[in-house]
Order: sequence, then C-alpha cells, then structure tokens
Amino acid sequence: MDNIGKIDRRGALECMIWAGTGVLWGLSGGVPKSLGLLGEAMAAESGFTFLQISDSHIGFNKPANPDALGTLRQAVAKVKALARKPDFMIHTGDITHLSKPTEFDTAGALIGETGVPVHYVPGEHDFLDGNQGKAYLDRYGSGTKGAGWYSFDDHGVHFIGLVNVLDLRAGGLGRLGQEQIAWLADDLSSKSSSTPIVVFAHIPLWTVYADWGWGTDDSAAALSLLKRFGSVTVLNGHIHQIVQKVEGNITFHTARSTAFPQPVPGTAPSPGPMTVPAEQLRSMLGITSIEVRMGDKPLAVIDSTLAS
Amino acid sequence: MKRSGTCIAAFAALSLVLVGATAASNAAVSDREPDVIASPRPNIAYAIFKTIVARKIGALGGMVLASNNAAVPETVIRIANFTFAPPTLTVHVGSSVTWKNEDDMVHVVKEQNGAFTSDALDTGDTFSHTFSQVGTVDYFCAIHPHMTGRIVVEP
Repeated sequence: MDNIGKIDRRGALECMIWAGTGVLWGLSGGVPKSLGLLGEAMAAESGFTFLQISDSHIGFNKPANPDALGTLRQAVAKVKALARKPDFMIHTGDITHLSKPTEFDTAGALIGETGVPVHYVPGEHDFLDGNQGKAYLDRYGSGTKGAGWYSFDDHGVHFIGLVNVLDLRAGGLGRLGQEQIAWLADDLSSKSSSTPIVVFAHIPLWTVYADWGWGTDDSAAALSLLKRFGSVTVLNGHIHQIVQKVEGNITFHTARSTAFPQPVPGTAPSPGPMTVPAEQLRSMLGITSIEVRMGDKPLAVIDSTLAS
Repeated sequence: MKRSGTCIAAFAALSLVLVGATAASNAAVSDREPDVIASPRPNIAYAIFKTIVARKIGALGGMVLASNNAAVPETVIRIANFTFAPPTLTVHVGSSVTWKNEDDMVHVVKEQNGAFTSDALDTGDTFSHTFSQVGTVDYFCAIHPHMTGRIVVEP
C-alpha cells in the first residue's frame, strides 16, 4: 500500500497475510503492526501478545469442510506449538454451528487444550437455541452485560467485546442496539484518549458488503465514540476471510475461519460456504495473532501478502 | 494526521482462481420456479413431493391452485443461495406454507415482528406455518436479515 510517509501512532498499520495459518500483529504504542510469521515474530518480540481465533463452527459437516472439528484441532495444535504462549485468546464468534450444547462443549474442551485463557463474543450461530442465547451465556456470559458484552484492561490496553448478532431486524445488517451503545459510551468515559483500544465483535463493524449483510447497522454510533482515541483496532470474524481497512485512527481487520472459507464479496451468487479443492482448504483457514508493543518507534505502513 | 486507506488483502490471487468454480456450482441451484401446489392433506413430505410433480408439469407463477376437495392447500418456498424463492408468494387464507432450506448454511424464518419464528433450519430442514388471516406478512432470515420475503394472504 501507499500509506507511507510521515508515520505516527495514528493509523499506522502493517500487516502481513500468512496464508494457511495466521497473521501476527503487534501493537506498537497501541498501533497494530504485523511482525511477520507467527513463530519468528514471537521470538523476536518480548511484548504482550494475544491471539484471535474465529468461526470454528463446530457441528458444520457440509462439503465445504466435512471435518470442522479436525481443522479447529489443527489450529489448536498451532497455538500449542508456539514457543511462547499468547497472554490470552479472543474468539470472535460462531464457536458452534447450531448452538447445541454438545457443540459448545466439544469446542470449549478442544480450545481449552491450549491452556490459554479465552475471551469470547458470540456469533449468530451461537444464539440459535431459541432461548436468546442461553446456551452461550450459560457458558460465557458470566460477568458480562446485556447479551454478553464486556470490557477489560490488560497491559494498558482497553479491550471491548461487543455483541452484534442479537435481535437483528428485517432487511438490516448486524446490530448493537441502543442499550449496548449507551453502555459503551459509559465504559469509555473514564478512559484517556491515549489509551489504546481494541474492539472485537463477530460481524464486521464496518460495511464490508451490504448485499450479503456484512456490516453492522448502528456501528457508526459506536465508532463515533472511539474517534477521540489515538489508536483503535477493530477485530471481527463472520466473513471467513481477511479484509482490512484503515480509516483515520481506526484499523479494521477480519480473521479467517478455522472451519470453511466464504467467497470474496460479490464473486458468487451468495455468501454460502465455499467448496474448494481439498488440498487448498487449509490455505484458506487460519488464526490471527496480535502483539502489543509499547513505545513510539516510527512504523512503516506496509500491506503485503505471502502466498504459500 | 489523517489518513485513510483500504487494503483488501485477502489472498486475492488464490481466491480469484476459485471464484469461477464456485459461481458455476452455485448457478446449478439458482433456478427459481415458483412453487405451486394444492394438497389434499396437510403433510409436508407430500407437499414437497407434489411440488416436484408440479414443477415437472409446469408451475404457475406464485398462485396456489384451488383445492378440489377443500383441504388445506400447501405451498413450498425454497431457501437457496440465501434467497427465498419465490420472494413474494400469494396464497389463500387458511393455506399452509412450508419453507425448505436447500443451502449448506443454517437459516431461520422469522416474521418481521416475531409473530412466528422457525427453529434453526439446517440443510434439508423444513418449517411450516398456516396463514389464517388475510393480509400481507413480511418475513426474513433471523440470522441473515438481508434475506427477506413476503406472503400475501388473500380471501
């Protein structure tokens, strides 16, 4: 990308796509910065790291991936193989495919094998129990507000987990709702503008592709509350592919699924699961790792892909 | 300092190779014949069977055939490629409508104000609702809300 020049902590983004397994992100002075391949970057940096995993869809067994549990197991193996464990993981939703208790339990047990604490937010597939997400909230709702949103602080970074998959409206996109936005305003009110912010939610908090519902109707209200902060990173799932955007102080990033790929926007009749040749499947699934580095080193803004 | 830029960096080259195949496979299920049926008895499987028969002999655009024996007419709406087919369906009051999910993805049929909501419909699952009042009923997929449809219930 061409976003080079006078770089400061606002909007600096460097990312490298690692087809097949993951992307390592660093936050330098609160700004996300890719550090390269997972293993070497973990060795090179000593900061605080966390890892994003998404859309495991345990229970999915269609042709796009008859073994979603097996590919999650591979992702978990990647994490277990890291020389240094991340401080925690975030799971950006669609843990299960049908919200069945057995699916939740299977996913939870497997992800738990990493030995790494996990902060979850739900996807729409986790709220399919016909009971307003009770199956999810019974497991992951402790200490959260409303339909499962919450915030916490770690290493000076303020993390916010949002829920935008409940009570969706006909013709619309994802939805946060007034109650959650009011909570967010209150949550942020005590934070100084220099606090690095990481927001994570299932459906993208910007409009990736409205025709397929890939956006959140009332995200503008939430993002406006984040404008005063020097560095905001938004991490989402839902679309099963990496899409990134930098807008002012906010960097957006969506993660790959561990279960099945979905088409690039507009390239297929629908966003349904994309069946690819078996030997290609794992190159389209993955996880994302993020490293937080404090300091104010100048950053080059470079986006690049690594074809495997 | 303000900067804005977009990088859609998602494995572009690899994806492009795959697009053609995906589009081709999806096109195979994109036919959207309106489903027209009048069933002598309220049986979903039978209705679906009759729908298939109706397709073979040529379906009529979105209208339900009058029932010869005053039994409850049934109509099937296909859920395919994240759309409801037909998107608008006209039925007589008292008709039962059955939605059948033909996607490899879960869908949930929900009246826009929640008057009725299906269970999560996995591939091949069906949901039926009987329309006992004249009027227009708008519905959508509760987890893919950009998917919308309408039932017009006539006397």
